[in-house]
Amino acid sequence: MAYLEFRNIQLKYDQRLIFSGFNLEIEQYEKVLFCAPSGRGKTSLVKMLLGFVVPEAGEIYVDGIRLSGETANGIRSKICYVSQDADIPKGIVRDVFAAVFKFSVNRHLNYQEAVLSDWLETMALPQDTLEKNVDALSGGERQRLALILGILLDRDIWILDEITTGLDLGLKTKMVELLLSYNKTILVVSHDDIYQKRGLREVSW
Amino acid sequence: MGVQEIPFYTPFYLLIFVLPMVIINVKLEIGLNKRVIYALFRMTIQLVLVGFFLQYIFLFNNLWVNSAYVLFMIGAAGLSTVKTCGLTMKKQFLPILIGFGVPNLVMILFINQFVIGLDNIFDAQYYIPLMGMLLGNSLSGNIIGINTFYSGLRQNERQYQYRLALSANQWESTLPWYKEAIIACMNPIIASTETVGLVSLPGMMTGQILGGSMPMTAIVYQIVIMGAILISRYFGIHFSILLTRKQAFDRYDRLML
Repeated sequence: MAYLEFRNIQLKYDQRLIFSGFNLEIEQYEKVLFCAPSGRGKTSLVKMLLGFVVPEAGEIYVDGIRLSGETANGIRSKICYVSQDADIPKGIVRDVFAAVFKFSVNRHLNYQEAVLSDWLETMALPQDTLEKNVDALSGGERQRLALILGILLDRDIWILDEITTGLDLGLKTKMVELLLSYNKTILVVSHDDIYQKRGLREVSW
Repeated sequence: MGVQEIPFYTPFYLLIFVLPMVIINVKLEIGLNKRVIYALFRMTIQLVLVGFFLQYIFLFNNLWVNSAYVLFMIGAAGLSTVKTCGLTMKKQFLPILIGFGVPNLVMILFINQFVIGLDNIFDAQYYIPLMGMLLGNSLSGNIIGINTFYSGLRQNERQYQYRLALSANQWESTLPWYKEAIIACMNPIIASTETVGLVSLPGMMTGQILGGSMPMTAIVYQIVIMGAILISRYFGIHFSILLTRKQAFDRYDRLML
């Protein structure tokens, strides 16, 4: 059995059938690019993995566990989801990070603010970002913070949903190279050419 | 010193002043006439009925009859909340009833037993009007709180999902909106508690003074009821959200309202 499996998925969205008999297998540490045309349900597919969208028929397996209401929480705790909107919690950045690592599933991670400082530098964010309110940051800055949060959470599966929008080419390249260097199962949703020729398995439907 | 009795016909004298209101509304095309007249009419009928009813209840003054009336009040408050907040009647009525009933019943019995020190804690004279005040306040508090919680979640669905992905725990993920709901529920009562007596004399005090109580007696009652309202409103909103949220999410923690 593959690490991630979609079996015979059927899903309607706004009365429209977007998945019917859909199957997909992804191995552990595989890096996959979902590059289907717009409107084919790329985001719905990754949201199915998180249990935010539930298919009408079919089964989803993550690391051998079938996704259901009972297992959804356990499966979510293996996944780090970074979306284009980067809806990180509201508040002062320093407090937001501290709060996320106080969540019971994240407490074992031994988070230190000093580590966050280092990452701000790596991601070309000024140190005073720590004191700023999330609302006062630009979309690109929020996105990078969400990526830092994702890396620090150290989960096995990364879902990166259109994360490069709003970043300039230099930063984008740096970011993508950095993220793909991690030994994680990585699912990328994007139309951006930046992911081409980087050894990702392209999946379209 | 008792209160001066009002004959049944003199309240209608007030209609003298309603007439110019109606005329002004017609002249200026302020579309209020229907609503003003309906409200006054309905209020009168409603209160007369409640009055008749209460006369009998006070006559019997029996534990079971009094409690049945209190349950009826709780039911009416619950119904109003379910309707106003757009909850599903079938699933949410019982949780809302418990959310209203438990904190307010505990509070009223506590006051009657320990604060006022009644021999009969189910005495209609205290049990029914005080419970009415507690429930009335819980009602507005619950409506504000429940609305704030669920509409906050609905409007910020993506943020909620992202928190869910970060924490994998429904309670932790909804906490910001939960806190917001408690604050929204408590804000008006905290403000009115702070300023009570400065702007206007509260209704219960006014009533007691008109009824012949000395101001100091009326004040002590007012202090007790203000404290009780604040406390039961606080616990009421916690209960109500905690109990309704069990039915409000599906097994995947998605908001289903």
